[in-house]
Amino acid sequence: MLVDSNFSNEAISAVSIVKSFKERKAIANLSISIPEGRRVALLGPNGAGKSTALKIICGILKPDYGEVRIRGMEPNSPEAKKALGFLPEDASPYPTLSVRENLEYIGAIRGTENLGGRIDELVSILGISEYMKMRVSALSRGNRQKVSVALSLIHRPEIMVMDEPLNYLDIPTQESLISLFSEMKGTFLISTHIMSIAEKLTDHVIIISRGQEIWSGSTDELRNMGHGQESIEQIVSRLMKSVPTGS
Amino acid sequence: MYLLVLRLLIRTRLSKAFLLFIVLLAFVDISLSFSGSFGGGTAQSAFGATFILFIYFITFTAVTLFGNGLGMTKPDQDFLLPSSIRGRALNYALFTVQLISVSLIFIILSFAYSIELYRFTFRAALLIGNFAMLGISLASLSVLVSDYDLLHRAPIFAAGSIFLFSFFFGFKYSLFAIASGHIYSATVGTAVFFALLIFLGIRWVNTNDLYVRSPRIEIRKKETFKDEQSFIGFSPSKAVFWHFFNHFFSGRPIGMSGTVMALSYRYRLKATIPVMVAANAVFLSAVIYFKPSSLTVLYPLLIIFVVYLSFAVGGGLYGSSFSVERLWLSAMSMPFHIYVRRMVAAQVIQSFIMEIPVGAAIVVLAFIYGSSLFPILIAVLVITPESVAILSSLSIVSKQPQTWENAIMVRRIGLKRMISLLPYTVIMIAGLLLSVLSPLYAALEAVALAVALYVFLSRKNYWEGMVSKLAESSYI
Repeated sequence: MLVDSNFSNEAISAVSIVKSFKERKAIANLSISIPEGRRVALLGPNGAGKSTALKIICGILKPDYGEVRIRGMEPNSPEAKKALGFLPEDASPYPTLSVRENLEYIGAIRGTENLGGRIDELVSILGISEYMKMRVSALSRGNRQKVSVALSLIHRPEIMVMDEPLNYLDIPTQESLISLFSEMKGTFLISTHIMSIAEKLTDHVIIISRGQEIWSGSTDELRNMGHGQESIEQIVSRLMKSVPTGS
Repeated sequence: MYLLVLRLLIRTRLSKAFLLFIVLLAFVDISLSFSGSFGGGTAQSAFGATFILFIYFITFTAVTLFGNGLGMTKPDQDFLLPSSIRGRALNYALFTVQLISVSLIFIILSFAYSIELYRFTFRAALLIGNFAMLGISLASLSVLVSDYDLLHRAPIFAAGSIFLFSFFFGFKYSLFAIASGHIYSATVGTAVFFALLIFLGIRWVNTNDLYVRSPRIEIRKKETFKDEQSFIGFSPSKAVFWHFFNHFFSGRPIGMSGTVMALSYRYRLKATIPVMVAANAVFLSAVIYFKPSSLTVLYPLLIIFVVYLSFAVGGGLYGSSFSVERLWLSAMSMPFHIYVRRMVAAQVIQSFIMEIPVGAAIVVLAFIYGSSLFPILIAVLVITPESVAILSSLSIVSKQPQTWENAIMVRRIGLKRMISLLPYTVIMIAGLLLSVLSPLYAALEAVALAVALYVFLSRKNYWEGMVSKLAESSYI
């Protein structure tokens, strides 16, 4: 295992990453540093580059320039992948398998210890016990999202990278997931464009727009930036709009 | 765990609805194949035979790109790729499941095809040889798609497999159909190949810019991408396309190429030579057993046999260092200018050793045994592009391509080469069409062609959507 000592104190470290798709620059010189145990929300408007940034961090995309490390290791190293739990946006479990088979399958491939117990634990928290024998194709979009969340957590990851994890979920399930994430130990990087979700799930915020970081700090610091009665959403909106067009 | 993975992989790739679809296709194929026996005439039989060809092509496209048969599925991308899976067990499981699923699909689909072959022309020995080739190709493809590292590049391999199987069936089918006197079927079959090949090729070249920055390739071989600019000018999959294109026009059976390709990659040619020798022995046995008395039958067999044998010898002698088939795979993970240098070397060597002597032999045979449009045209098709290739290759070599500007130059040469080939395509199709005496048959075939193309083209939006979606998800 090769550990880069320059990054070894951080759970997630991305330095000066740049990524373009043909002519479009998705990420423009973005640096992210997240110490162990921190919970960070990646905020940004639609098309800001949040999903691309998360994929680069998880090693699914390679940046054109820049370096990414997970605990000082290459994101594609087996050790980094074992530590990472990645929930892609609009993830889709195997539609022809039942919920249990999906969990058994990915759990087995992930080498999960006490897989049966882990499955029971997750389905109980997510409230999908009654669907265990149903095919995923027969589930509602919300229940499929719950299965996706379970699949991303099946191997007990210590660094969670999640792209809009509460999409499609009803309010009670959102609340149960928020409490699940709150109880979990580990590092979180959660992409969202909804500030209220970011506030509930995390204590730090990175705001990006047009692929660049425009602000980062704690949620309290963000709140303190308000002028008068300005809400936190209005502060975020103001920051996002501060990025010059065409940059 | 192995059994669990195996069981679940099968279930994720072979749904009941999908199998039902395949069986229904096979039923239509067989019905049309037997239409002559149920009061239909030759036209219906020819139509049926041609239709099988369409179905193969369209189904393979559907299976490989849009279905769950061979390609990587969205759930694979979402949950299999991010996992840290490695190891022998998964590779074996993937190999097994792909072999099962691919075999099942092809056995069902090739049933009508084999009936056609048996009924029209040949006997059991050749049929066995044909299925031996099919089996080897299936195994090859299974090796390719079951390799976990290669699985990351599933779209490229899925597209490659379309070419592989369409050529495998199509080239041989056309030859057999000609040999059995089904000139109409062969004409349209050949025309469809060219039309779809060109159509797909153009579509592929256009859309394949999306593949240029295949992230897995970059991640795996980042140390070789110091000069990233050199990679921008030409994607590996475009190089693959040109290679397949070249293969087709040089008349080399792609089924065998696929075999060599896979075996070379996986076993570093240790198994390639005996397999090639065995495959050729099957064909040779078939020819000896069948004792073809007609020159019409002899020509196609001769072409297949000589090219196979040449390929075996050439592949065996030069495969370890120069085989284009290995480069086909290497191109997936090497900078383009290196690929070009090696491809050029391989092209020159292979051309001088194989294609030109084979083409010349066929021309001589054609003149000795009397003039025949088909072998002459095939010979022209073999010799001309290879000559162009050699000239292009030599010019590239002399300029020592090292930069992306040279890659663009190669692209231009490739385009010119493609354009230079089109007249021969037109000549061949036109020549064969001229031999069609009955306007009725020609009309039937034209309708079949139009319907098939309409069906295929109507998927355009879906195709584009799929490619865009994959590109957006950046797994390709």
